[in-house]
Amino acid sequence: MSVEWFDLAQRLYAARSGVPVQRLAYTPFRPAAVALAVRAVPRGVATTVTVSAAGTGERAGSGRAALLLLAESGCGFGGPDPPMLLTDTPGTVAALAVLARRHATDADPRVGAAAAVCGWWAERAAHPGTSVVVDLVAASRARYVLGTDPGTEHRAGVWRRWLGVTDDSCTGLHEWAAKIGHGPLLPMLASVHDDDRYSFGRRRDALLAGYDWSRPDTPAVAALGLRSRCESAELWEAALLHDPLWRHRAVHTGHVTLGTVATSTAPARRRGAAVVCDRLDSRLRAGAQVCGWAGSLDTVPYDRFHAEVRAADVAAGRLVLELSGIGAHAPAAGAAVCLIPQPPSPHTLRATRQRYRALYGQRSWLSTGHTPAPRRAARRAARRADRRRRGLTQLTPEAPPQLSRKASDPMRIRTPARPGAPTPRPASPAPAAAPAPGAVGAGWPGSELLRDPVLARTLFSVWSGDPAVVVPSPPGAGKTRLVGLLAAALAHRADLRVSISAQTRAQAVELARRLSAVLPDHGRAALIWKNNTPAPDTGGIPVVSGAAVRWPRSGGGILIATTARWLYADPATLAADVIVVDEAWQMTYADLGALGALAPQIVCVGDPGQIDPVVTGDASRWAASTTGPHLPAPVALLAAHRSAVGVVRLRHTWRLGAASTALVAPLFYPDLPFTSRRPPEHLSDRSGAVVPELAHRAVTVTAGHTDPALLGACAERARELLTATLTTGRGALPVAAADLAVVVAHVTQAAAIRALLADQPDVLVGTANTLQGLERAAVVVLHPLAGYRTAESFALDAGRACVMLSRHRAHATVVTDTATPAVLTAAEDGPRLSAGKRLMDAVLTTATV
Amino acid sequence: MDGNEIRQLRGYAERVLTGTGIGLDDAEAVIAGGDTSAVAVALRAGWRCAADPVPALPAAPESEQGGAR
Repeated sequence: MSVEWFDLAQRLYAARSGVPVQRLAYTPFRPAAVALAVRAVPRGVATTVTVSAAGTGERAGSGRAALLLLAESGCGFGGPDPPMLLTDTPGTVAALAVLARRHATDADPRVGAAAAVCGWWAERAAHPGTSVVVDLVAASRARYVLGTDPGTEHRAGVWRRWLGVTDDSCTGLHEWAAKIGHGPLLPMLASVHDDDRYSFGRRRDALLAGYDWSRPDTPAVAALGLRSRCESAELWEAALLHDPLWRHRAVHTGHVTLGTVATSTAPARRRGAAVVCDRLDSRLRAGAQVCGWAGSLDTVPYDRFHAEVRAADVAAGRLVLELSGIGAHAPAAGAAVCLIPQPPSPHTLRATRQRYRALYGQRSWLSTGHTPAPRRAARRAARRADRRRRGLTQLTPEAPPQLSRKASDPMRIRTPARPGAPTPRPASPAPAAAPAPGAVGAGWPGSELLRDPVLARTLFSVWSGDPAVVVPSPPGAGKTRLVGLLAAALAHRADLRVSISAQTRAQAVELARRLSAVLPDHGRAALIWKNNTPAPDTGGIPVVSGAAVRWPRSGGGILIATTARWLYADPATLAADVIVVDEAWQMTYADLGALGALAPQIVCVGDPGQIDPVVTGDASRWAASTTGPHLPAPVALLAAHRSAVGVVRLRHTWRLGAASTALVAPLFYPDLPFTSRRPPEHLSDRSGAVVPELAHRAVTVTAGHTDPALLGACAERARELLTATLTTGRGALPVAAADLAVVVAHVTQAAAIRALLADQPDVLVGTANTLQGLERAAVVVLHPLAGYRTAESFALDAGRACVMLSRHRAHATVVTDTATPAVLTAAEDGPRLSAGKRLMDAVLTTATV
Repeated sequence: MDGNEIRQLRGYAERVLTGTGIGLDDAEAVIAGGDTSAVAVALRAGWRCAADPVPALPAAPESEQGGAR
């Protein structure tokens, strides 16, 4: 990224001029009527606090006396507006929080109120864009850049010197705040300030009502707290792009895209346009919602347009974004345009949070945190009564549960193996093999589940009433197939209403397609889709939106939607019997808790080795919790409600070969050992020699993770693989572009490689996030640490590496940086680093190509 | 700026410019020149932004979309 050069030039200018250079034209916080400058330092069991209100000198106290001192300085609920905390020491907020918890229930109302405000400050400090807690060092770094090494900007003394603040006591913090907080406030932050005031009022009301704010968070409080933090983070990111100086910088991070409109079509209502971009490293990709305007970067005019990126392709070495759905203010052909990601609407965020709160207000077992008793028998009895009432077949406790509506129907689930017992190998190597001995005949949707004891156990676990079932699965184990068959079986043989929750729209469409092949009656299933957008190809499954979203009037049914859509659903009309979550390790526990309002039973299917859910907000409050709202849903679910959760582990991959399984399984799945059942498949080169399943190619890198040598090596290897032959059970065929993928860690790397392979548009090039769930016969993997000279946390993420190394069936080449082993050796030890080293060692043992 | 800060900034600059073919002492000449390489364009943009920050800002009223109007 060229932003490092952009920043360097600003530092050189600041060094030459001797004054800080502005990064933001707007101020990132708004001065308050009551501002307290505070430093707090833990000393043994006590906390020493130094405080200065505006216009007064500093005073110091310790323990309870410190809270009294804060109360006398204005830390309380006496005024209409919240008091503002100014500090220049990073540990102050945490130290105040510890002190406040110790005295949360103090008999003196002044101490209690000061403690409650300190606790509230600690919460608000996790909301970017807040004006009630201002870390002056962080705020200065947001607004200015100095003529120094970036590492020195973490020191308060350096900032004081550059800003000309001579008073280094607490009192001097007010002068510091005035020097960096001048000018109009960043647009969009007013919404965060509304939240500041609203949450302050709630904290005051809770205190008056006698509520102990220091109690541990309930699942609902934690989930809503995380939601609030994520919204603030999204607003802050969007607010930055409304600052003209930041926009100039953001051109070099790919967050702002400049280009020229090549063509502009004008159908009856909604226009389209093709924008030829000035640079390749845009972060915009297909599916992104954008906001744009014709004109310069310096101003955002009123007449801006909104659109969706329909496609992002490279043509003649230039990135071309095809925009669709442009309403008003569409740019004319030839116009120079600026594009930024569509900022979140504060109104929509508020509405979403209200829906979230309403779902938690339904008080399901997940939202309250009360583990249901293990009551298979009781639930079976309830189901028997329910089915009797609905005129369906009874289940007998002595016999294995029948899924037939007719008592004479011989179809049954076989008795499942005990958890922990060795899994018998299926009679056939393929998942769609003939029924195993003892299984019942096929004929009803989902009956294939009964051919595999492990899959049958999943069905049994749901049917027998486990409140939750978790199905951890290695890559390529047939998760999507399992979700489809399970939903079909439950809907058609047990007359249950089954919701399927997918994490992306693409996954939802894929599930609909799979279901279309399983279901004889497509009328019982539907894909919930956005209104006024083209319906996807679902293979015959109806696509519904708005008022058409409803369950069939009788019998079972299946509704598929994204998690985001389900979080908007009304439990009064769309409640289901079972909700099946696909790719559940990509969903947060907070979202699962909200979905609990929609169904009494939850099935989580997913891959525990992949990338954790994307959480934009600060989750440090729950860092030590095993049931934090930010954690992957199945992980926290098992920690919170183990006795109510059935676990069925899938043990085989049908994608990875033996060599890949031997590398991936111990590194990324220590708790989920699995074996390969992939049918024989390999690549051969032009001479006919078999290409090893795993190989690596080392490259010398000098210019970071977008070094042309590194990216060129990936493209070159992809071209070599296009000359190979792919041999499978169906015969030998030349490797086609559609058989090939290149997977990288960064969007900018993907854009550059796409440009290098522009003549092979069918080669799938993308980041680990975008390629999750996909597979190709051959894959070129760019090692996530390649180009780095320090062991960055992002590049050491095990989930990302796991996704990258598990997309291939026949072959993967890992392109590495010759300097990476030394970078790993020089880094400080930690669990992530240890895994990174083991991965690098394993990759280097593969063949060199 | 003290001598230590200058040394640290020089070290940082040399790290950032490694592999670009531009030395720290050439940076200002590259900025003033007409080179269109990625590094020259980025250096020039950063320098210009520092030298000519946006002169006047409207106080930004909030819209429903949250942007300046």
